[in-house]
This record gives sequence, structure tokens and C-alpha cells, in this order.
Amino acid sequence: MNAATCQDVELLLATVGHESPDGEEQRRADEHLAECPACRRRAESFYRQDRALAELAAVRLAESLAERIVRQLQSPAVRKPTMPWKRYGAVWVVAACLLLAVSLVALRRSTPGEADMVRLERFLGEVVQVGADDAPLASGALLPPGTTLQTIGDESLAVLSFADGTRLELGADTKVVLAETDAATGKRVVLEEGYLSADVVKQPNGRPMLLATPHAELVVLGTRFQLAGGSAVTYVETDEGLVQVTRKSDGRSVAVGRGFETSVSDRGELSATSVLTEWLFPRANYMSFGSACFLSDGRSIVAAPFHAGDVRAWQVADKQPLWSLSAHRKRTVAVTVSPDGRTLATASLDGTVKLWDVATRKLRTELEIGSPWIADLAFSAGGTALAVMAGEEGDEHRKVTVWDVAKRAPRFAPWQTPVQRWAFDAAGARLATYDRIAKRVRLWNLADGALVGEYRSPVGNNVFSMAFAHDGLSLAFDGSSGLVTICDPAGGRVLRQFERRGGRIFGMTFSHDGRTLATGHQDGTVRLWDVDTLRQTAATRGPASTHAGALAFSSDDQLLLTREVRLPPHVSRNTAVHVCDVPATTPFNP
Amino acid sequence: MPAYPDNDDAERTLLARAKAGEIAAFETVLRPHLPMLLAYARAICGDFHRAQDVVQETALVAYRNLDHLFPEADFASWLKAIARRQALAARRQDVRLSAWTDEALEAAYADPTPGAVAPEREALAGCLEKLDEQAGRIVRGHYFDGAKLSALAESLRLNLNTVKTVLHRARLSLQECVERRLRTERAG
Repeated sequence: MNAATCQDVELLLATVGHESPDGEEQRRADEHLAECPACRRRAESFYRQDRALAELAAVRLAESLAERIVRQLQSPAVRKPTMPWKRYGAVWVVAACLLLAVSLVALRRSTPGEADMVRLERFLGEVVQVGADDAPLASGALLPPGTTLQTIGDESLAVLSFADGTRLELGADTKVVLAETDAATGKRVVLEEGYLSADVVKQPNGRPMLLATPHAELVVLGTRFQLAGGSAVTYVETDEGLVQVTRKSDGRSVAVGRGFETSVSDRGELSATSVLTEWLFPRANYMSFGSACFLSDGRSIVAAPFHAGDVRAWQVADKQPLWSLSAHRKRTVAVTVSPDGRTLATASLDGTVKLWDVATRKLRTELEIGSPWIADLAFSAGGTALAVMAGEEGDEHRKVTVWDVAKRAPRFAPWQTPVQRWAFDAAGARLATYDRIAKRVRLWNLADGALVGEYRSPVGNNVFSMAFAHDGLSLAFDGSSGLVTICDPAGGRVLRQFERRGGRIFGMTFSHDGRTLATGHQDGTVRLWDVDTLRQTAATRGPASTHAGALAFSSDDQLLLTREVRLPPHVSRNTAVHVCDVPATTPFNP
Repeated sequence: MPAYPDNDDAERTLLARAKAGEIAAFETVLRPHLPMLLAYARAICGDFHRAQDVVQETALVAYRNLDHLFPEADFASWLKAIARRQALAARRQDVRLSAWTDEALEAAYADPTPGAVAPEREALAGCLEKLDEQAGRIVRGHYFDGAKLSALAESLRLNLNTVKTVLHRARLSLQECVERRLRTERAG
């Protein structure tokens, strides 16, 4: 074989350290490098660039890695460093402590030791100990075996740590029982509902950690994984190690290794499938922006920054700014564009909604809503009416008022029953709401406020997200059952249903052609599903402790707008809006 | 994020507290070095995910052996030396470091301090935005998401050699862009 040229070696250097050349390639390259100082200098410059690129990428990882390191160092198994001169003196102290400890064990035999306790490291939102008058808890609280813990609300989160460094992060609206253990069994946790991610240190032989959901039992020796328990489905995805999952209904088992996932319901096939999928690549990221929508050209977006009252528009292709609008005195919390693309509506914490001409950015109308906590806006089909969803601070329930745009006054507000979730249909003709107290889905006609449909939730008592298809003929739900359900909007008849992955959904949207449903999840993933085959076709993943929401497809369905919220959500840098390219491929079939 | 010690005295103080068992002090003094350690470990062991394990193990070894770090020693170099041993042990069997590539690697990390390649990093952040769509996908997918080139090739429906070629051209383009930006900054 001929000797390697400078070009051969340079091509090799471009992937050095990440892809392994075969032996012959490497030998030829080494021979060339031995004789070519210029290529040796090129090698140094490639490695330096590699370092800069890898460090730039690693900045994002460093925080989570630092947290893992700290947790590991906090494990009792890690010996603290001691100054040399202290080591010998400590021997006598240790001996005395042992003697004291033996005495104390005899006295404390009937009460759980600290090693059995679970610490509530930190939490966000509302976390209660169920049964103890639902008493709220404080960070650092030690929870004895037998404790039932619940996080309440969309923005709730709790981090639990065991004495050996094992860590559980409970997501929103999650209920767990820290079961009793004894010397013969390992840690046991029951996930009654909700979502958790686990980082389990290696457990002693013969004492694996056990987890249970309504449908499955998991055996964990030491691994990192995610677990979502719904009333109908349990979902497991393993990031590291191996989790043995056994279905309660028939005792069948499957091993879920790194990079695999499984969904367990009472019936059907039980298998682990690879999570490998086609990746969605964000082509544009807008950090510290909360609300966004596409403009009518489908190639530009308008978004509201988290910390300000202005609104900005960009061309997505090259991220070129198009215009900026000083819309409000206080933070802009919602933006939407009328069906004809001519009017932009912005809502603010200043309690107003303003309507702007998109082309000229001139103010057309201002509405005094009377409440700063505006959650959502939607135009009617003709753009003559605007539905405003608003409520009280900290209350996830909202009320709808339909405003007459021309008269600048409420057209009607008949629906004063608070709603937990809602969805406007794309044609602007109807509004679907979910009343959690009455446990009813209701369908309203926006033109006259008439109630045109009512039925029970198809996804359990808690509805997490709803979305209309653009043709208005189907309405998708996600809820406590763990099954994403697509229904006839008028009567609630189930049309299609599939097992949810990745934890509860914080935002979903249909493509304009109705073939794809995009879902944003509690674990930070955004996933695309083929509505016909109900298979996942693509996904993207954000950082840990992130809630993702799929907001909208562009008018040609080639772009997807998503939102990412890290907890706590009330910090500017913890929100972002992304635009992803939608893969133009047939569904990936692992 | 806690503030990084911006001088040697601050670092020595933190290390003294870490030696006394204060984990928070150890985390504070370690954190700025994590990007370098991750990049270095990945360059040696050839695996994005394994590099994270290597760095975690490096931190554990470092914490346990803080007694052996003399006051006058350079903490970054010490960490890098530990990381090298861990990464060599963890690397895949089919990843080889020849004498020449090893020399080039060590030259790139001769200064292991956090700010050593900071100008290039800052320039790269802007230059990455200038890459065309396909090149950007490959570079981001490979470096930021840890995707293997073979996986990227499959997902992009490209031949592996094509992906390598695109990556090579992208890196040349990035080099030129970074050099231009650094020249402009120096001139400014």
C-alpha cells in the first residue's frame, strides 16, 4: 500500500480520538507523521480545536456531573480525607465511638436508624406527607420507612436521597410510598402514580432495590433509569445498568438495559425496545424566552422574552432578527397570531392584551383584562373575537372570557367554572376544557358560548395536556392513565390510543396534515408520533429536570416549535424556545 | 453556581478546606476543571459517555488522595494526570494512541488550566452558527450529543465516509473562522 499523504493524515486527524482507524491506517499515518513536521503541527492544532469544541460542549454537562460527584462523595462509603497527623489520634476516638454505638443500638432497636431514613434533599412547589394531615415538609427532613410522599402541581419536584447515596427525583403530581424494609430485603419504593428518575448506587448482593407500580415490579442492582406509573401503563427507560421489570398480571419479565425502554400494561406484548430513534436537531435556540408562535409565513417566529415586555421576531433559517416591539410595561406572558396572519395578540402581567398589525406593528386595540395571570389566548375563526384564559396567581385553574375585539368588551363569559386544561381548535371555532373538580370534558362553541359536548375524561382523573387536530375532527389527551388518547371531540369516543413514554406531557400539538403528533414530556424529551401507526418517529432530549412542551408546527409542517422549562420556572435562564427541523422520513422502525 | 477562585490563594484555601473533609469546597475548586477533564478523557478513551464516568472516577480518586497533593503542586495538572490513568484504563480496545497522536494530544493540553482555550471556545461558539445545516448537525451531534459518527451517518442517511469528510471540512472551516475572529480581537 502507498505511503499516506498529508491529505490522508489530515482526514484521519479530523476524527482522531472519537473514531478508531484500523491498524493499517494508523500505521501509515504514524509513518507519515514521523517524517512530516507540518502534519505534526496540524495534529496539534486539530487536537487543540478538539479540546476547545469538547470543552464548549462539556460546559453544559459540567453542572450535572458536579452534582453526581457530590452525591457520590456524600456516600458513607467514601472515606473523607484526613490530615496525616490526625489519623493515629483518631483510632482511640473511633474505638470509643464504637463502644458507645453498641450501647445505643440496644436502646434504639425498636426505632428506625438514620441509615433507614430517606432525606428530602430539596423540593419545589408543594410536597406533602400523606396521612400526616398532608403536612407540608421542609428541606432536609428525614422520612422514616412507611412514609407516603406526594408532590402537588405542575411545577412540583422533590429530590430524595438514601443513606447509601441512591437518589430519586420525583416529578410533578407524583405519589410514592417509602416501604418498610428489614435486614433481609433491600430498599423498597412504591410509585403509586406519577414520574421519577432514579440514580441507584450499586446495591449489596442479594439485596437489590425493589420498586413497584400498579402494573409492574422492578429489581434494581445499581443503575440510572426513569419510571412513569399511570393507572393503565408503566414506562421504564434505562440510562445506565439494567432493570428487571416483571408484569404483575402474569409474572412475565423483561430486562431493560442501557438505552432501552419498555411499556407495561396488563395485556399485550412485553419487550424492551431500543430508544434509538431519529433525532430532532434544534436549528435555533432562544434562551430566556417563554411564549412563542409561528408567523403566517411559517418561516419566522415571534417570541416574548421571559424578563421583559417586548416581543421579538426572527427569521428561523438564519436567526436574523426581523423586528422588535415594545409591547408592554411588564413581562409579556402570551403571544398568538390570528388565523389570517394579520393580527398579533400579546398578553402581559400588566393585565392587558394588545392587538397589533403584524405588518406595521401599529397598535390596533388594547383590552383591560383585569387579571395579570393570563395563561393563554386564541382568536376566533374570523379574528373578530379573542378568547382569554386567565386566573389567580399560583392557581392552575383558569376561567375563559371571550372578548369582542371591535367593541373592546367581553362578548360573553358564561363559563365561570374553573378549568384545569384547555385546547382551542385551529379553526378558532371551538374550545375544549377539562374541569378537574367535576371530572368533565366540555366542548364550547366560541361564536355564541354554547355548550356542544360533555363527557368524562378518557385519560383518568388528572388531565395533563389536550390538543386539537387542525381539521378539528380529533382531540388528543394525556392524563393519569399513561395512555395518550385521541378522541372524537364532540362525544369523547376513543379513536386511537397508545402508551405514553417519557413521563407526562406538558404540551402537544398536531401537524397541519394530521399525520404527526408532537409531544413534550416531563423528562425533557420532545417526541414525534405517526398518528396512523402510533409509532415514535423522532425525538430530542433536553437537560435533566426539564419539562418540555411541543407548541406548534409551521404551516408546512417542516419546523416544530418547542418550549423547555427547567425547574424552578420563575428564573429567566430556565426557559427557552427551540425550533427543530422535522425529519422528512418514513417512521423509524427499530 | 459558586464563584470560582480567581487566584491561587483562593484555590489553596479551598483545597485546604477540602482536605479537611468539606465536600462543598472540593466541588467549588473542582468544577471549573470539569470541561477540560471531560474533553481530555474523551480524547483518550474515545467515548463520550465513558468519559463522564472517567471524570467522575477521577474526582473520587482526587478527593480520596488530597493528602498527597502538596501545596506547591498545580491542581489542574494533578487532576489531568489522574484522569489520564483512568481514561487509559477505560478506553475501548480498538482505540489506540500512537506516539505521534499522543504527543499532539499532550501538546494541546500542556496548559490544563480552565482558561487555556477560552478564547478559542468563545470564538467557536459564534463560528458554529455559521456552519451550513448539515455540517452543523454533524458537529453538534458529535460533540454536544455524543453521537457516534456511524449513528449520525445512519440518521442522516449518509455514507460514513461522507460524514467524516463533512466533519473534516467543517473543522477546517471552524479553524479559519476562529483564526479570523482571534486576529480581529487582537487587532482591536
